[in-house]
Amino acid sequence: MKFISPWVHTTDKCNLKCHYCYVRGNAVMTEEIYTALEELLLNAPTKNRHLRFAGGEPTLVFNRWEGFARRMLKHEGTTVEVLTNLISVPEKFWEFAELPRVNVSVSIDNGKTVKVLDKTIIKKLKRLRNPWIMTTVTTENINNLEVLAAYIGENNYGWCITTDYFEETTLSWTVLSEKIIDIIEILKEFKYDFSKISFNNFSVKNNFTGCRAGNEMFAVMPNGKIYACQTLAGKTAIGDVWSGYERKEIHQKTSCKSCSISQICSGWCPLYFKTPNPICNVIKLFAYEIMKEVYHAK
Amino acid sequence: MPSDCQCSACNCTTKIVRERIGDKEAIAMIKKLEKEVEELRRENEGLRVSSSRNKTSKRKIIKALQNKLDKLLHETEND
Repeated sequence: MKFISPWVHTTDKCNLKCHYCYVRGNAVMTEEIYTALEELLLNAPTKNRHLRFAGGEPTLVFNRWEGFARRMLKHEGTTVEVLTNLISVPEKFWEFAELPRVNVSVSIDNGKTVKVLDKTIIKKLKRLRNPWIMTTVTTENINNLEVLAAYIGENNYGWCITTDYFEETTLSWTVLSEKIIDIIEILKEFKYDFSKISFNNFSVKNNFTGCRAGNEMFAVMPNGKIYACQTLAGKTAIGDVWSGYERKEIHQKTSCKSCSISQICSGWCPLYFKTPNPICNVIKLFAYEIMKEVYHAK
Repeated sequence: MPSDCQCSACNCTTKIVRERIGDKEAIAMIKKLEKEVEELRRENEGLRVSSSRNKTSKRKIIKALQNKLDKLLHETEND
């Protein structure tokens, strides 16, 4: 086991109501669960621990998990990532975000109403060291992505673009492709580092492995149960923080084997993305464009 | 928060699991992809329009975007 990476589902609570979100409820993880998880992680057969604090909105309950995160950071090999919308961050969080080995990933869709790129969010982003931006492309924001691309290009931020897991708000592959080409052209103007961008888990980043749900990656819910993926919460648990979990290797989809980019494409979401899929065309166009940039094979 | 697939949204470097392809393999892959992309473009007018628009009026689009962005950043600084 080369690394271990729990999705720490700190709370179901959120200060936004994104139309594509699957999280419901008000549960908050307690100290008892954090303590058991700490023991589980410290006894794991690897020292490379990458903790992802998420929700819901994790900064709403920052006081509940700060102590656990700081304790874990004292152990060599531990890194922390906070996945947040940055809407209402407690003052103490900024100090935490400056710690070495802490990274912040910020959800910005720049939709008409959802996760808008405005002056408030820009001010907050400026306070972060090298934030990573996460964007879900839906009908709500498809026409506002160029400005976001220019902003990301100018700052050379990492950018993770995805369609929604459940394909309920996914646009047609042709509309998406046109937008992706536009975005890449904009980023080129800013001499963007294309090793920092991904679309539906396709990236040329060296350490990019795609989804490892149920293996090195797993989700810990507020009740202490462990699931292969956070989207499976409430379904079949694979363990809990007290007794651990049973790892399961995810095999590449057989339908992907003949694909021209199977060596470097993770096949997007192993749970919900069925291949072959028209969205694979978008991934190929994206792959072609960014590989040309990264490998200078124009 | 969701539905971003945050599984891979990080800038940490602890996740090396398997070696990726080398430069030679990557260039061969690009050549193979080029044919497929050309075919997709042939079959789809929207994509052709999108790529030709990018070539002909890219500067114009970027300028408009840069203005929008400058306005946003200016507002932020003066706030």
